[in-house]
Amino acid sequence: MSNDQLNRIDLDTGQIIAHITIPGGLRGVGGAIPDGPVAAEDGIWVLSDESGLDRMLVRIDPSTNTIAQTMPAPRGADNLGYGFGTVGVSHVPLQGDFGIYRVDPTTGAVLADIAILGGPFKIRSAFGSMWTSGVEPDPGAVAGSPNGGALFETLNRIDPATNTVVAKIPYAAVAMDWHTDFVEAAGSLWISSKTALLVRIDPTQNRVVDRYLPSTGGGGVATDGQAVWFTGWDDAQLHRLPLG
Amino acid sequence: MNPDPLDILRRPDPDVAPTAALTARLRARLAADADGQHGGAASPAEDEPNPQVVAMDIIRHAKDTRSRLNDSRRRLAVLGAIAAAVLLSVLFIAARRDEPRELDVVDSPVTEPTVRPTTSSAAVTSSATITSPTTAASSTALDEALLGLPVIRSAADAAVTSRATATKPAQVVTGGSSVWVILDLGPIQRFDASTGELVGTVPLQLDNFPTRPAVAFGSLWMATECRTIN
Repeated sequence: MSNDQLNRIDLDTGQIIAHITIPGGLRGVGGAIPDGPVAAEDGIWVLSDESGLDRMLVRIDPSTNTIAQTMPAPRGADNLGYGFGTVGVSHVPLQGDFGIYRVDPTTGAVLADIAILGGPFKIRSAFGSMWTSGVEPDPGAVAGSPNGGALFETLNRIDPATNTVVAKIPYAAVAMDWHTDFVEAAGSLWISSKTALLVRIDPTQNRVVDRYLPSTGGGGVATDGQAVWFTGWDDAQLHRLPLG
Repeated sequence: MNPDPLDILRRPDPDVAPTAALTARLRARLAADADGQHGGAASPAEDEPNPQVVAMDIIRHAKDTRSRLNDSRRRLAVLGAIAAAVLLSVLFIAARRDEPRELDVVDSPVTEPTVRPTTSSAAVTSSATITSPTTAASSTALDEALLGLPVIRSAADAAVTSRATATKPAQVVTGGSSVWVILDLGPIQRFDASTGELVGTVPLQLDNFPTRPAVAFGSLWMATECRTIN
């Protein structure tokens, strides 16, 4: 019996003010806790693991710190995001492709299934689009060329109105033990990557416009409006890049 | 148990001898038929096989042999490709390990203060600065070669400042006036966003590669495996 919890920590005091037990726990497909929780207008969503691949979407009411809503997640659900009035749920390819389900947070109905070739791993909303990180083959590779098998970390940009991928932006070669995240700040998307200290993408051009070295092994990335904060996982560092 | 495809190179093909024997019989039979046609005396023996049947046998044996050889060659090609991929991976990893470290950071040790410092300046005055890279990583060269990515900017030139975390930092979020760094296996370190100083620790035991917490409703929401550090 899992005893995974959602912990609520007060931003002012740093004190843990609530432990909310999630029935069945929070383990993901590979044994890791799936990405999430994610915040919505009416609460905090998590993905429980009560019955293996048949997971549950769980909403926590922040006014009571209790579970307010539970509904079956689409089969193969793996990671969570929230945006444009829907819960974004990445899924593993049980039958078809990897992809993202867009789920109605009221009924649990799947409104769209958007195929993503490799991944998706993170789901974020920015610049009027949904974005997800994944892995793709070299888009410029010519069949039979020596580089035809290369894989790249890639951001997929999704139009929420049409539920189609409108841009694929490769930004780094896939490295071992890679993990990545991205955030919106100062008109750009900032990516923490295994193979670059930081990558900046211009959403008006859908391409990489800056990369910062040296690489320190990727971790998280966040912003407080004044700076981009990112971590070097390999060398245990917290970095700050001032904006403007 | 699957046969070793290399066996095809080590042992004589059992089909070679029967095929040769059948060929000899066919030639003998054709010679006998020719003699009969020209001399008119000889007639085929009752136990001699029909030349067409023998020829079909030869063709069938030849096809079977070719098919087995092709299968073996395919298996050898696959094994060769797998071996080459493994070798290249090992060489790539070895090359990565041998690369010189590009980050030359001298950090003051981080100690947890007893009193939370006041916010005063946006500058992270006590942290170190990243030096300019002297060489490009091999993956970066790969990125440039395949993707045509733009020229790299030096983190030092961009005024990036850094400070050490207690262990490997998997995630970072901002909330309130703090930067929250989620470490592998926990805990969570809390830094002042204005000064960069460590101001506290949230005693949570986490997994490797813990997930990014949500920041909403005046709180940080962190999924864990339930254990607090005593």
